[in-house]
Amino acid sequence: MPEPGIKPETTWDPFVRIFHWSLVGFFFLAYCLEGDRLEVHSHAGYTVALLVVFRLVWGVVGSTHARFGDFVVGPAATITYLKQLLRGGGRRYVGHDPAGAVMIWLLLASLLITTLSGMSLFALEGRGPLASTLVGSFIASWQGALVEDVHDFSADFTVWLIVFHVLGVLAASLLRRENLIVAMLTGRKKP
Amino acid sequence: MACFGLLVLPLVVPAASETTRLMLDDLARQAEQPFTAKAGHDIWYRNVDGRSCTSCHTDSVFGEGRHERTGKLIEPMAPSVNPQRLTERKKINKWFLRNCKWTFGRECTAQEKGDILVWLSQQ
Amino acid sequence: MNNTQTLLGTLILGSILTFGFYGVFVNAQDSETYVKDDLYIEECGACHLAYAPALMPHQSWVGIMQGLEDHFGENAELDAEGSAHISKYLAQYALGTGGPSTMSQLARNLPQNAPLRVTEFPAFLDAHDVVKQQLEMQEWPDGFLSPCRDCHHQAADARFEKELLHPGYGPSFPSSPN
Repeated sequence: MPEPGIKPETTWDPFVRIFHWSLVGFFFLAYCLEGDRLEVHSHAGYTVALLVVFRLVWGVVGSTHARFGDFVVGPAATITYLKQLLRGGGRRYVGHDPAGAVMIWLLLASLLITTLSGMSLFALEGRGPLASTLVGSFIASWQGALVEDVHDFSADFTVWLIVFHVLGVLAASLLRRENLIVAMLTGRKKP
Repeated sequence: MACFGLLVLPLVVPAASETTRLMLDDLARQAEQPFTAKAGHDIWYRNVDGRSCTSCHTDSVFGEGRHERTGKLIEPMAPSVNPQRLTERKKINKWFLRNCKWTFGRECTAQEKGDILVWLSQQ
Repeated sequence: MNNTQTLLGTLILGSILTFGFYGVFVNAQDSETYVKDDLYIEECGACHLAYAPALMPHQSWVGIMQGLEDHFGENAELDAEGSAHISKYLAQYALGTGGPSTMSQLARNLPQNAPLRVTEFPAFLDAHDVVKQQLEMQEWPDGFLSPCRDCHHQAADARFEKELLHPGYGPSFPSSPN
């Protein structure tokens, strides 16, 4: 709950914004390097995982519109809103709208699967943060080829999500007549 | 060009002869009889349980050989064709160790090494 | 946003980004060139490809070095000096002790007692399963995969990336020297 009497300076606080663009940077660094430069690739991957964790924490203790409570409306309301959106309607949300919320969940989940599967591959090789842990010994029996498939697929899936995310942001920008990309840079949205 | 090669040969072959000569001096102290090329030739072509020097070096030391299993090409053994041969003592000893053991199941005696060196240096 | 939030955000996100940027920068400095050793190439490349140390874990190399007298049916003995030198080189650059990225996956699902031949590693067999189908082979004929260079032309430089495989990979030229 926001503190009484304190208005948020911007819709998107600096941390949400920095988080968002850092995530873009580190994810694409890891994705473009693929299996080359494994040290850099994995380090970028760890950073992505940590950023996701940050967002989860920030969604609980962060500013008004960063909190999950602000944009989680439940499945029924989400579906209703999506139907309205497809017809060019639906109310305007200052923070994330329910469609954006769906994308956020999908992205966070996909990124988690990607990073965890990557760390699992390292664990199979006896290295990385999961290697000497209980989780690591559980992973040891998994087939490397299978885990690699999961890692590759979820990485590609994330890219597709990003494509749809960008298209969605552009569409919403047109619909609501505001530049949502600039908003994620400056933090300012029409109240 | 080949003519030129012949001119250079006397300069190169002595190097092989020098190394061989020094080695033979040492080996002679441990050998029973004087070394002969005939004996060396016989050892080279001897077949023991399907293995022989010729297994890899083939019937002619003037041509290329190939590793029996890996197919790797082996430069000719004859110094007259390949002046690099018999110039490095360490190398000669290394291959004696490995190849005698593989071929005959044991190290070659000083006598055998001397005989082989005499024969090979004349090729 | 109150002071607590600002502090928390700065601390957490700040540390993460410091970790991220610093680590990426530091790791980007490392080159991944395969460090070659002349003696190793001369002695261990005399009959076959001088296999890059990063292809096998140290334990496997120890096994190889201890069995040189009967090296898969051949005698590959070294003198004490050569053996010491090569053992040290192999220990330094073996799989798992830092080497080119392309090799890293060879360590996957590797048992404690790793085989002495990289062609028997689970990850190796996985990676070449695709090739098996392409060549319509039911089983690997003995020693088939030893001539790495038939398909991996830059094997001598420890470059095994898929992108470097020539099109339509498979043995492309007859009697290639090992």
